[in-house]
Amino acid sequence: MKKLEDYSKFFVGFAIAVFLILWIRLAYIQLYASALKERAEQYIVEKKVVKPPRGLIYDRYDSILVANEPAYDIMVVPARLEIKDTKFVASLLGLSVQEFKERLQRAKRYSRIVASPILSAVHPSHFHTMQTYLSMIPGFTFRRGFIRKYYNGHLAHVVGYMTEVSKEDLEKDSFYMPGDFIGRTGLEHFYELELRGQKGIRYVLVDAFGRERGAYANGKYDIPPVPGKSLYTTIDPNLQSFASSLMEGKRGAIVAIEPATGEILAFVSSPDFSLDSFWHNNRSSYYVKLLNQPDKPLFNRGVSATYPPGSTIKPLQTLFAFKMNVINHYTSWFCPGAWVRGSLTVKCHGSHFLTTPKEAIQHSCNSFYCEVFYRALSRYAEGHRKALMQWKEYLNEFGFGKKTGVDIRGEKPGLVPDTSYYDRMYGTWWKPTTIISLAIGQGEWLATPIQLATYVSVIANGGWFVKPHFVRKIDTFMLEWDSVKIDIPEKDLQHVRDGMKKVIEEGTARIAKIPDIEWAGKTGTAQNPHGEDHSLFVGFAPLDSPRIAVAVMVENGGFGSRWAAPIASFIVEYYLKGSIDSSRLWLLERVKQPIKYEQ
Amino acid sequence: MVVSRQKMDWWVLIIYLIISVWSILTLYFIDVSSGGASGVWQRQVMWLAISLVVGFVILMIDSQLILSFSWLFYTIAILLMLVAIVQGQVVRNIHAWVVIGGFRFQPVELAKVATALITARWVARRKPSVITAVKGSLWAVLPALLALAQKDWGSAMTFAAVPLALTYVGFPWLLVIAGIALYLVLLAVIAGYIKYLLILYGVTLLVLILIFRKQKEYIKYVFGGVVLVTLITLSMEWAFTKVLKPYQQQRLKVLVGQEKDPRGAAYNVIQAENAIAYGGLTGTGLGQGFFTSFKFVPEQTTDFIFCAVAEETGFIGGTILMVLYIALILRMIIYVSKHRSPLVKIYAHAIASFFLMHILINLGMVLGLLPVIGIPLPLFSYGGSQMLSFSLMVFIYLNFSRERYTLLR
Repeated sequence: MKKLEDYSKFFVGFAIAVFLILWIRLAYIQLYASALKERAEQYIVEKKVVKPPRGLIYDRYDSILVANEPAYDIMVVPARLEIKDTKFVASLLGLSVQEFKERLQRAKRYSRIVASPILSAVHPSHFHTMQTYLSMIPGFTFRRGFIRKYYNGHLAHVVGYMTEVSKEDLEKDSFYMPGDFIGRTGLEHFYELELRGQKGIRYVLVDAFGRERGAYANGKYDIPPVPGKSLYTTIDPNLQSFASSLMEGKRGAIVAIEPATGEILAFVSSPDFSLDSFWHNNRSSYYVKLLNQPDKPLFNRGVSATYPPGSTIKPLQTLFAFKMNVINHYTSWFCPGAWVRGSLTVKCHGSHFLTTPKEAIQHSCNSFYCEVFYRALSRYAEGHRKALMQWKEYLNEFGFGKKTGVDIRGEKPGLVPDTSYYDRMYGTWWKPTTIISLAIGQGEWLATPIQLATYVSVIANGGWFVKPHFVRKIDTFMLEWDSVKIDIPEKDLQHVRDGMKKVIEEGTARIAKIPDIEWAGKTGTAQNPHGEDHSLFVGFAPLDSPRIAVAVMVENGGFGSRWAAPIASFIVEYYLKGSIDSSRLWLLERVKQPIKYEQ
Repeated sequence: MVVSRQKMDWWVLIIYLIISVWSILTLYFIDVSSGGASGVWQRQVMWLAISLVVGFVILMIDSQLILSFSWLFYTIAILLMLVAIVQGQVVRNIHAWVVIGGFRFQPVELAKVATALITARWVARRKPSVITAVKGSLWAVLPALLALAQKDWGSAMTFAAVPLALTYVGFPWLLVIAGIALYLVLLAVIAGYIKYLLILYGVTLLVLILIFRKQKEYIKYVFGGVVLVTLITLSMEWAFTKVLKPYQQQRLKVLVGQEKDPRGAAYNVIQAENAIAYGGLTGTGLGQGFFTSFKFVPEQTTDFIFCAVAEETGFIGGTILMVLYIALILRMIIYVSKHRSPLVKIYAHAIASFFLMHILINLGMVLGLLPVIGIPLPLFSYGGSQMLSFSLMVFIYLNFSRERYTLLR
């Protein structure tokens, strides 16, 4: 028989063992296992990227051109999403059900538990209605962001548009995350690295539903974002708007440069488009619409379109002839109305007797330039090939045939043909007469409006080539732009400038005469095999100390004197005097007329 | 017969009150920091008040009267459990609730008190022996089976408290150890650790043969024992993989934390561990627990309430609560050791054992050592049934504790 013990040793031992095990486990979790503590923090601490405000863009007078406006990204956490009425949600976001499902799929592929944007950069006005409904649906969250606000509606081709980053952008640069925007054209693209700033990081506490519940460790580990750098441009906003109004209803481009500095005062490519629309809800359809428009509004004619420069380069050809010593300031010429060599005839508009080369500029005499160019090409005993290469190098110095290096995207080098070009085209048999149309800026020679403006700046600027540019200062950092002196005797330049002055006073561009302003220019008509010729003009003003050089190109505008010359004169007059003389208002009315284009 | 009234066990009452009030404080801070207005802590105050009133009544009546009602208690509890199975409410998949006068109640909790009482009374009247102890344990079988029928695994397991308590009168402790070992082997089999188990057996066999190499007569028992255990393990494995349907296997795997079910049992365990780990040494402060405030841990007012304690008061708070529990248990055992009534001693062991089983299963689950089987933390989890039941146990104990000699007969 067993006597009752005082108490069960087994039970007491068992109880103590149980508590010891539990207590050791508690100590392990709370005091020892740092991995568990880290995991705990992972659940409640979320690393949030803080987008920096993008750099601002100012005009040449330090007034704002492009600023930021708060906007919102609508994010989804796919794992938490509970949508009852897909159609309603899709329509709320302004998406088709199909598109909505695709975006949701994309978000799921990115992560099921991390929020990713389903609709980025939503304008506040749209956002507030969306938020009212979406905040009631689990799985939707919102993120602050920025969209661009434009203070000048005529800068689409200068500032450039932005779109959401693509898969390639994400792979190329780890800075970007889905839903970010990136500059695609213009300054936004060229200065993307400066404008975008540095992203910040914020550690926040989030609850089991992913809602933010305050800062982690009072923000001790947060990294504030660094705002993007501001661009101080060279654009004169009033001139820009005025120039745009002149080009309305026309296709073409205007580039106005301050010759001494290379600063671009106005830059118009027409037709234009709306940058604001790139931030609207239906931006993708707007983009597609622009792409399909026959007049190609997204095409930057100022830097990407190449045309034969036509007679606008006759001052340059004059300088080249001086350089080659085939004419002097007193060379006279009788133009019979055409230049004839063998079976080749180049027509001229009328017949003139010229006493000096500058009169050739004044009258834009084709036969004179054919003769002079022919002489130049035949200058050397060893043949025309050497002379052509010299000519090409000379043109390169003025910026033709290569990119000027202007600071926006999409610049084309144009074309200055050389010997190898013609060898490829004709074999080696070609002769000066084969390429004689280069003399008058036709043929294979192609130039962009920015090249024309740069070239006329060189003439205005005493032979200094200054790289044309839009940005003079980034934050407080002044940019230094290349400038190169081209070897031209000043008296030759003076001679050419006199000729260009005569163009306006008594030459082909008398219509461009401005009261009280003495200025110089040269008309051009670029032959266009596909339709009406393009109307061209280059000029600078005032004559003595030029403050503005301008190149105007109007597609299918016919003679240079019809559209381009008067438009250039108004740019000059508006820039120098701030208004248009009343005696010229009739002309202003006329050039503001749209041109009817065949589609 | 000398009637000499002995002092009541005031220390147990004090510990009881500290735990109960701490529970209400914890519930209050959970409620306030997580938005409030759930009414949880107010109701717990009400339950404590009811418990204290009932406890006061119990202290007023004679212990003999209580004992004479033990049969009735037991019968009523069993009948109520049957009612719960037949027409009770189903809450969280457990068919264990009856509604009496607008209050939802789990009769199984009442059955625990009744079983402790009747077992103590039955065993105390017999000579302490292995047979008595084993027979006495049978009182727990019926309520345990009914709890299983209610799909209330946790409560069924707590009835193991009865044989554990009866080790005091001779229930073979090796059997208790074997039972625990069997349970652990079952968990290992479900978790898919059969390979390691078999390796473990092999190693054990080798070690035992080495130990007993001098006493040849034991070798065959050692060998037979290991083979038996191996056969049991293999048959468990067979039953698990061949008899159970895949969805049943799945459910069991989730139960032992083997299957990652992000919103289910595994989620609970992970978030419970997170909350506890986040508490650290000193905790976040009352009402400051991030996981607690934002309801990361499901059931944080009931089964997982220890998480709130561990997060907000840290290792220090958790340790103090554990110390209070072990103090309560040991105090009862040691206090009655001087008591001359075997009934009181057995009863004290029984209820100490119920406390212990609850704490083991609950904290084992919360601390990620045992599968997720929901049973409340005694006197601490929100819930009237549990509060009332453990209060009854404690107050009946307090009643018994003061009358050391009258109960001697």
